Amino acid sequence: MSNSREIRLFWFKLAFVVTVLGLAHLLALSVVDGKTSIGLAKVSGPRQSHMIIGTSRIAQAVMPSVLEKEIGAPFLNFAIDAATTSYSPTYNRAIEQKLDPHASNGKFILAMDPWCITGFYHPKNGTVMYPEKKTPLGQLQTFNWPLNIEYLIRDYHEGWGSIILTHLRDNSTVTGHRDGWVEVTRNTDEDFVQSRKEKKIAAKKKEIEHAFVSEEKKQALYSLIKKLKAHGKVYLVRLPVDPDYYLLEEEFYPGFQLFVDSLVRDYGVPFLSMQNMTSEVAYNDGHHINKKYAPLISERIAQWIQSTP
Amino acid sequence: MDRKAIGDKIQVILVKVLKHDRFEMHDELTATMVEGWDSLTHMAIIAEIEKEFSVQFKLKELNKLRNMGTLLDLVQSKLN
Amino acid sequence: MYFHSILFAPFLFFLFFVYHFVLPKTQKGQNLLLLLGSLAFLGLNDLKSCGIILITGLINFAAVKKMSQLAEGNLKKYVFYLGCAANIGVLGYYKYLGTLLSGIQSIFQGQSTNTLTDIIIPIGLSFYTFQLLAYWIDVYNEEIEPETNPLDFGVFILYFPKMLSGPIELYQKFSPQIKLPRQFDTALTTDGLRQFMWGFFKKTVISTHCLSFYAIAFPEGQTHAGLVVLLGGMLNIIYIYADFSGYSDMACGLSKLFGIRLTNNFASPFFSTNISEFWKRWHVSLSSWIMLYVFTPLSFILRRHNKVGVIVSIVTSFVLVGIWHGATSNYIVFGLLHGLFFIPLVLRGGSINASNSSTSAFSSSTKMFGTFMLIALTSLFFRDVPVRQTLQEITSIITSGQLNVPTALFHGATNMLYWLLIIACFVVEYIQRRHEHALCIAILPTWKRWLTYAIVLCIIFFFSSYPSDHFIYVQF
Repeated sequence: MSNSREIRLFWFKLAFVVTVLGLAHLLALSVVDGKTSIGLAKVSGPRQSHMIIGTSRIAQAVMPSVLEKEIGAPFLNFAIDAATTSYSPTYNRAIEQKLDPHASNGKFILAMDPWCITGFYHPKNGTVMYPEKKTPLGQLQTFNWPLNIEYLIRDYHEGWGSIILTHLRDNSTVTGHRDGWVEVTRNTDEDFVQSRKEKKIAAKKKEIEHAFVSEEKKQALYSLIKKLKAHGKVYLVRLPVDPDYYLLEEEFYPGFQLFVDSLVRDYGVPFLSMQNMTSEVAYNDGHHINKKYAPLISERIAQWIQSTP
Repeated sequence: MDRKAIGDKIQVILVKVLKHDRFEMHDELTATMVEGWDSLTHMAIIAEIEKEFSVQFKLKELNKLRNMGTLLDLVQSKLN
Repeated sequence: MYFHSILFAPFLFFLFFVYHFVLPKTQKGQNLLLLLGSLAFLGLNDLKSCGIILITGLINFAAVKKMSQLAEGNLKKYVFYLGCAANIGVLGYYKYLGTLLSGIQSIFQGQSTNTLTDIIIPIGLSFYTFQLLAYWIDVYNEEIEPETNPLDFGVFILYFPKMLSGPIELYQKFSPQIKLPRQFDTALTTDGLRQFMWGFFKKTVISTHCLSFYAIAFPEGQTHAGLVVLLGGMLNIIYIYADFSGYSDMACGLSKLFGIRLTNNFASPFFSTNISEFWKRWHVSLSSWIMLYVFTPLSFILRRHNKVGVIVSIVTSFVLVGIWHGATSNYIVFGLLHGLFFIPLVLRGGSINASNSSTSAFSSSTKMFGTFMLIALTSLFFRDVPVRQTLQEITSIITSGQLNVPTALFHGATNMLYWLLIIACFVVEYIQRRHEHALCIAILPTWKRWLTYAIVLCIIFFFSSYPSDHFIYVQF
């Protein structure tokens, strides 16, 4: 049993430690930037009227700043990666939370490739997996705080002290910009690129063993298009990839073009395939475009949007 | 048989099983104080004691043992 | 919500504050709060588990009470056997049925696609069941009186610091502590916070970085060969230790905030000089449970078979330790091997290692290292990998002759820092090995204590990592 002096001292010491820890965490919050988390900017700030939607390929390839210059509308790149933001009811929910409900003249660029509608079986027990439900975005409740602390807590898997360390270091290779564009800096040396491409293709081939074209994901895409059309215009874009990688996509889903054609027909949305640009650009790994060519890709898309009635 | 005699016989058993005599017999002696008297040798010692005195222990009785004194008491109660 | 998740902090603070400073200090009030808090904690983790455990707990409470009122005789015996069988049955249903069915199915179909394998085991069920079995046995043997108060019984089985992964507490050790009102004790509370901090450090810094090193040295889906297997084994066992002892330190530390002491699960096991010593210091609450309720009765029955009897008892006990972790062959081999390691000790006549005769520091550190390596290699069976592959990997250390240690592990200042932290962790644990936990520093001068807090908290703030939200032992 402790006397009251000891108890008071205990509370004083505890309060001291908690205060110091609290201040340290506030300091960390004050230096949060694009290097902290690529998704953070996408879920911070006000609701949006113009959005870029899809997976990591479009997250790295399409720059809202370039679109804004050409089209005059501020876009948000709301794509993260295949596990989180391939088409699904979960992603649709997030888009709806981020979309300005009063938007009527919005522009929405939707990525089109087989992986956006690919589902996976559990390699061991064969049941369909829903990885997006467990992602930070899938579980998020708030989408519009100026700085989304909830997302940071869910997405940042290190002590907050390393926010400060990352901020001070200048060797970050992945940066999430305020408009949602994900800037990835990779060594462009040909050997590196070639070996990364081989690894990527090998990994994808392994993944395909448990993959299938998902009817549920298609349904999610249909309802997303319907929903977005009520707020403006929807544009479908297939970004260029390395020819070897393209071959893999064709092998995996030979009927993909027919599927896109049916979307164009049934929903009256325009589609742009950019595969013919493949020799004009370079890739980090055959799959993601090198950041040098992101402005070019963005510009072409903007021009196409401008010229599409 | 008196406690002293029982104690002497148990001492002989301990020396035989543990192969050393680096311990003093007294009522407060516990297994942890005797080198080598651990869970792996304990039941061998018990089996030897049963054989020597022609008695049978129950597990319940063994679980209640705390030190040499209680062991002597137990053996004595079995003999009478 | 586990101990190191962000929501746990306000939950804990609320409970702690109300427990000591709001409620009148009555035994009943405090126990009620602990029970409600534990239900909330468990319910937030998994509502279904909470329900299953609450219901089976109540049945056990009533059944044991009834059994104890029966006269000595056959009826009492049958009730006792039925009670134990029912508890083992519940555990078996959740834990082993899936493995068994998929095993049967794979024999017939060549692969397992059974949805029954998805039966989710309620959180902490293995720990919970062992506590209840001990309770049944002890009441039946009249070692203890059965609990008559459902509230106190509820606290005994549901108490949240030990719910997820133990320690496995015996009723006779836990219960007296909650029979009286608990007074706020600053010394005990501070000690608990220190222990919690050290466990937090081991869990979020040491265990996570060991795991990432392990993933680099031992990429999944490959069979490894050569010296790297040795390194993989060491990283694996350090990871398991840091994770589980980190959890245990957090659990014991937390419990002290409520004035209740739990069994210390780890006593610097890596500084053991033989396997028997190791098991006296590793997962103590499980190994002493097995000792009390399996090894002792078995070796008593087999006592006339001399050393053969002891060997049979010890191997059986350890196979059971293996099965407790899971019914797959890798865990059984893990247990079997540990049992077999005892044979030399039994043949030599107990663990006489002449500790007070001529032991040089050199020979005891050699023995420590040897024991550690033995345990590290055996830990490779503790993975979700076929036994044959692990055997192949271990033999390859000698046969392949490859000296292939991935240099990526030692590249860069960050990795070197993590190695340094891992070493520092064990240096501190070695220095403090005779204490209950590594941060038993109440006797140090104030400035040294606060310097320690500052260093540990800074390391946690800057270098901790939370790749996933769980502890490995929660799956058992």
